[in-house]
Amino acid sequence: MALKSISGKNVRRSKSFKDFNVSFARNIFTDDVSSVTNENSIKQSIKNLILTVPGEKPFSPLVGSRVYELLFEPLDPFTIDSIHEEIINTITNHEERVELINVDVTPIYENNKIHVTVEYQVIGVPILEAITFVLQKPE
Amino acid sequence: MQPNNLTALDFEDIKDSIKSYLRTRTEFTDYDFEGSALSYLIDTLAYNTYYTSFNANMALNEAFLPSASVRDNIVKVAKLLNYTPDSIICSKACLKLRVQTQTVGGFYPSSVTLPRGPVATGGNYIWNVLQDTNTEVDPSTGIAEFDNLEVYEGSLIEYNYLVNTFAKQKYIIQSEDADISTLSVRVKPNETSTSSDLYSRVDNITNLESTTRVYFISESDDMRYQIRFGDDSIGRSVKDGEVIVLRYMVTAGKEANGVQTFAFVGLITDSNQTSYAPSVVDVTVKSKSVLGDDAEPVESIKYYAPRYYSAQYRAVTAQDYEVITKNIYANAAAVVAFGGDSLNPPVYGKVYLVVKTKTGTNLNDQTKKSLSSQLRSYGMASIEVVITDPDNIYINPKIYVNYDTGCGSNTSQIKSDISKSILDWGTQSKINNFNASFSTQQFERAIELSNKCITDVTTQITILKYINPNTNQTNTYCISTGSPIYNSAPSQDGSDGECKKEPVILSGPFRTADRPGIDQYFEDDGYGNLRTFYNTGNRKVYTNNAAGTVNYSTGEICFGPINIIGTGAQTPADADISVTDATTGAGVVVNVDNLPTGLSIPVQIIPSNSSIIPATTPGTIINVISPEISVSPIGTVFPSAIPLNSLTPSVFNVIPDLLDVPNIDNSGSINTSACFT
Repeated sequence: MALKSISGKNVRRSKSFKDFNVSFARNIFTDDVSSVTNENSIKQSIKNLILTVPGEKPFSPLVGSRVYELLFEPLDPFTIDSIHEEIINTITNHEERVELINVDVTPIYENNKIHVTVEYQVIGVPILEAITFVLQKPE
Repeated sequence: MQPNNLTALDFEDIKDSIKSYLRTRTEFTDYDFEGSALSYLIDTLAYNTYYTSFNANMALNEAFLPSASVRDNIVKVAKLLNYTPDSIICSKACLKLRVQTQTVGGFYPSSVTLPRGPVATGGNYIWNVLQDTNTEVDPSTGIAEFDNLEVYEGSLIEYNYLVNTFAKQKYIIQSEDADISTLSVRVKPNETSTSSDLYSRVDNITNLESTTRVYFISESDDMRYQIRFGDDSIGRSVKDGEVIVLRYMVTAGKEANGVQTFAFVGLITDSNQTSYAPSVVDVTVKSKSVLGDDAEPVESIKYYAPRYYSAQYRAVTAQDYEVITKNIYANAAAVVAFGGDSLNPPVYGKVYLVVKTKTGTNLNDQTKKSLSSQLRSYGMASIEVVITDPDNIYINPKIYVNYDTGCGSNTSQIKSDISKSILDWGTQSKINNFNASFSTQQFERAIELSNKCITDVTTQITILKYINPNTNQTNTYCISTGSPIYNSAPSQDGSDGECKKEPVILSGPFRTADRPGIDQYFEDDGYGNLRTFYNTGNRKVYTNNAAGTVNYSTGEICFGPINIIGTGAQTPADADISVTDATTGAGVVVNVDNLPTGLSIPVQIIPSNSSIIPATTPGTIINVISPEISVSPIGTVFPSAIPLNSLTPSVFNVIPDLLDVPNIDNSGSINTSACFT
């Protein structure tokens, strides 16, 4: 049986990721700001990207997604489809640490909510991760 | 690790600097990912740094005159140099009003009064007089005339401040369109008082005492001018309860220039208290509206503030006189000053000032006197200021060009290209101005480069100067070309006593008092003498072989003594002269009073070295006459570069059109009327 030769190009390296928590909570053990690591750090990053409006980051007008804006559109299959596209584009373009597996956007018409599930794999880590969150207009 | 890039002004550079710092730390690793919370924090920090450095950069730029861009900041820096920018200036016109007064008890009134305020409308503007004006009535005809009445465009505003020394009062002129040259500042002791003291404007504190009634003016925010009074040590201060009365014009500036028709709307009252309706007043427009101008632009403030400061309100060096003259006389287009010691022969204790006006006309005696007395207050005690007219040298180039007929351009195209190219050359060589010299080589080069089809260029250069004789006075008039004059036959020495050389100097026509009936001319004989002659139609008849002298090496030409009574087209009328011999023109002047004035004789001269025509004195302006251009196909023989026997001064009896070199200065306002000084 012929084995496929594996070069350095085929192996994507991973490293540990460490970010601070956007809630700025206090770590009671270190008495410092609490931090998030690895998959949690990536999860926080994906959420940040999706909830950032383009233009919000100074001098980086392309970073972010139009999801926030689309929430004010009528809740119909077209809007759902746009949100779906936006999430895929945003993660593909701006979060290079993950490989996107699936994005599932489900409308909940009764409460004007959207249920979003993003499935991805951290590059170099053979585990499927998923974030689930609900999008709704601020009340 | 220390931050490594402290001078970065770009957002991305600042962000990279923070990231490179974080790379050396192990606490957080997500700084490179756009979505991370750390990235958002870095953005905030970088944005803050960027904002601060931008602010610091802008603030520091605005603190210096050359880099500031906001007018208020430029004015504030200029204020430290005690420079007050010029405000907007009213357009003014010159009118003559004529009214027939009515008798009371059989007698005409002694005088009529035109009160200050609006007197006329014209071109959608209102025109005012600034002061009550009186004039006497002719007791026999009852006609009163306001002659040379200057009217100013705008609205006459009166604004009062009640002085309260407990409050921090600022006395500000409440309009950005106020003409401060029309500002009058008076101070009344209280609100009900009818008498007031007139305060005068000063720029510096020399000669001020504690009771001197003066005010200082400076531009403050938003182009409003602020008035300050003294402090009882230098100039009198204003006291509690006093009322400051500011009267000034608010104007549309140069938009109101060029109005030619006016309708009288004022109210004239005579000494018998009879008023006259506007319809009975005759209005004659003596000068259309001129001299209105915008407020001084920021570029001008930036240029003049440091230069004015360097003169320190004192005229010591020649350049000081130039800067101060431009500042106090708006009609000066260019000024040149030089000490009398640099003249030949030297004149000590005098500084000579030559003013080229924007109109091109020479200053009249009254303006010269007033300018000279204004300058005396700046100058050193023993120095006398002499204002002279510019010495104009006119260069008359004739251009001959050969062109390649197969190259694709026709003669009219080549001519227009040459004209354009000459204009460019004129702009670059500062021709028609002081401190210029004429270089034929550069001139020919400019022509050669104007069109690729031109194969050869040659020019005939002659110099034209004007003699301005005084009518019916016997005088000797000297002019100088400042450079040697051409010698047409160097081998001849005049030893045979008969044979004269080909003339290189020829004048335009003039009439003398002893031959008023015929046009005479003068030319040189090649041996240093001028000869006058007239033409009979087929030959020259010489009337005087020693009519003046020529110095060929210095270019000095002296014509006279001679009594001139007419030049060019300005000849005496037949009734004013009595001609006894029609052929020779001999006769006498009958009526001296009717002889023409303002005479000028053109004199055309061939220079020895036509490649460079230098300025004779620092006050010489080299003017270039619009050239005659001949374009001919390649192979055509050019005429000689020395135009012997083809001088035509008579075509220049009036000053010809000069090269219209575009003005690169601020055009400013132009005074074309004798009404205004």
